Amino acid sequence: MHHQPVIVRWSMPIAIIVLVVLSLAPVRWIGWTGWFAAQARVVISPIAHPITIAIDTIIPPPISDPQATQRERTLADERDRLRTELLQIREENHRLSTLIDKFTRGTQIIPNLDVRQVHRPRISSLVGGLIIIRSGEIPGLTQGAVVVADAVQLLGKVSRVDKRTSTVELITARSAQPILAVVLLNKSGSIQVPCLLKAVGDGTLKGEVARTVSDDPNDPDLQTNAWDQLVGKEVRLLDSQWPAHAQMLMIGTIERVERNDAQPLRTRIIVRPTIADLRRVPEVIFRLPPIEHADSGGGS
Amino acid sequence: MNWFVFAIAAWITFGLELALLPILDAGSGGVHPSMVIPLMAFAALYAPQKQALWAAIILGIIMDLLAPMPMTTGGSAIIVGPHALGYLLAAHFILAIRGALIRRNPLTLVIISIAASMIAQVVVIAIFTIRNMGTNPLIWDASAQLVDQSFSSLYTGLSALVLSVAFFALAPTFGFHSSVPTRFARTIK
Repeated sequence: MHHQPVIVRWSMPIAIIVLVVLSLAPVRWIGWTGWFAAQARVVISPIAHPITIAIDTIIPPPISDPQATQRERTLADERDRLRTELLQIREENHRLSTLIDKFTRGTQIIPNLDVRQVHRPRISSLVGGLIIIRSGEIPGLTQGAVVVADAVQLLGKVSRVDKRTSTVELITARSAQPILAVVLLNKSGSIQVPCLLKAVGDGTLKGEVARTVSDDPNDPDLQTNAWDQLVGKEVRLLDSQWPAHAQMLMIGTIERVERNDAQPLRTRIIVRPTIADLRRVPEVIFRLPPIEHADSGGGS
Repeated sequence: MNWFVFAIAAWITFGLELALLPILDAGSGGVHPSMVIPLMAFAALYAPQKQALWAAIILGIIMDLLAPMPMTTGGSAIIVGPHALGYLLAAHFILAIRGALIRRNPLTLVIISIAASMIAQVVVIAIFTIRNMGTNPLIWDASAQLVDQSFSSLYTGLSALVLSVAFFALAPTFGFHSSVPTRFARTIK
């Protein structure tokens, strides 16, 4: 009979026992596995990234307006950015006005809306609506940092930060938390309807909007009670769970409206991001706090 | 088995797995083929028993490291073990039946990959469901996962068919020297 050293003979049962223990161990005990995951990503990236680039060259990711020239796209991005800033300022103005009414004089109520934007390329995608970004060491990049693409399209939040890469959980990931948003019913964005959006898993988000009684019938942009007119309307983030600088970022446009027979007063909307497939963006933008905040350990 | 060739093959298949994920996605966001399981099945079909089992464990651990699980707190956790154990059981299944298989037929790899994927995914889902019974730190829906992974397993048959061309062409470089007792014919060297 062929005799093997004890360590060789018992290596497989020991490995199985260790794997079973690790599989069932509490999350707080296995934080160290993150280091190995980072190394695995470093090893896989040199092959995954070129293949991703090759595939994106062969099958270009869908873009919002394929007919538009590069200059038109740049101008459209600039327009969207300014529109987002306008909506953010208006929302902040409204919020501050409310706070000023509520709070006593002298209370510090003005949040610092300064934001630092850092561009980084996507390496590849992971299962479950996650993407890997080659982030390197960026000061202030922490879990929960807001990530956008095309200037104002909200991509998601950073769910994990390693020394060289970051993992971003997309807003369209089935595991993503529901998002509070507003539907802009008119072009100026002055009439809004809130909704709670949850990712469906096919790249869209689903939510319900209530019929409001405060719609302004004099607004020429607004087709009161014509819910089919909701299709194409912009949906933007307005969720206190997200940082102040992320408010009013674009979530997408309403792709279709469905009747909700169980609740006739609420209309179900399906929202698709302006980028057809968020998992295939070539690069992302991290929205981070200013350096001095990052140095002092402040998150975004 | 030549471990260096196996490592290169694993490196490329993991690269394909990650890069092709959004392209080959079958619409629902959770149904996609595996490139790694056909490699594991290929090794389990030809390699000596111990090497095949260790190859399955290594591939499973790497898969665990590359598949962070979203948590209810907003972060993600790396759980090492579920895929490794799943792939190990799947490899054991292939080892148990490989004597009765026509191993040179690409369709064998297709069928075996589908079966192995289903076994591995059942193990993965069972482990995550058990570990999430208590405090529920992970965002986990076992029934949705079962549906997605069942379709993914069928879809894996397609990737196995494509990869079988490369694997069978490269088979000599893997350096398999196993003596597998077959059920109906002479022993294959």
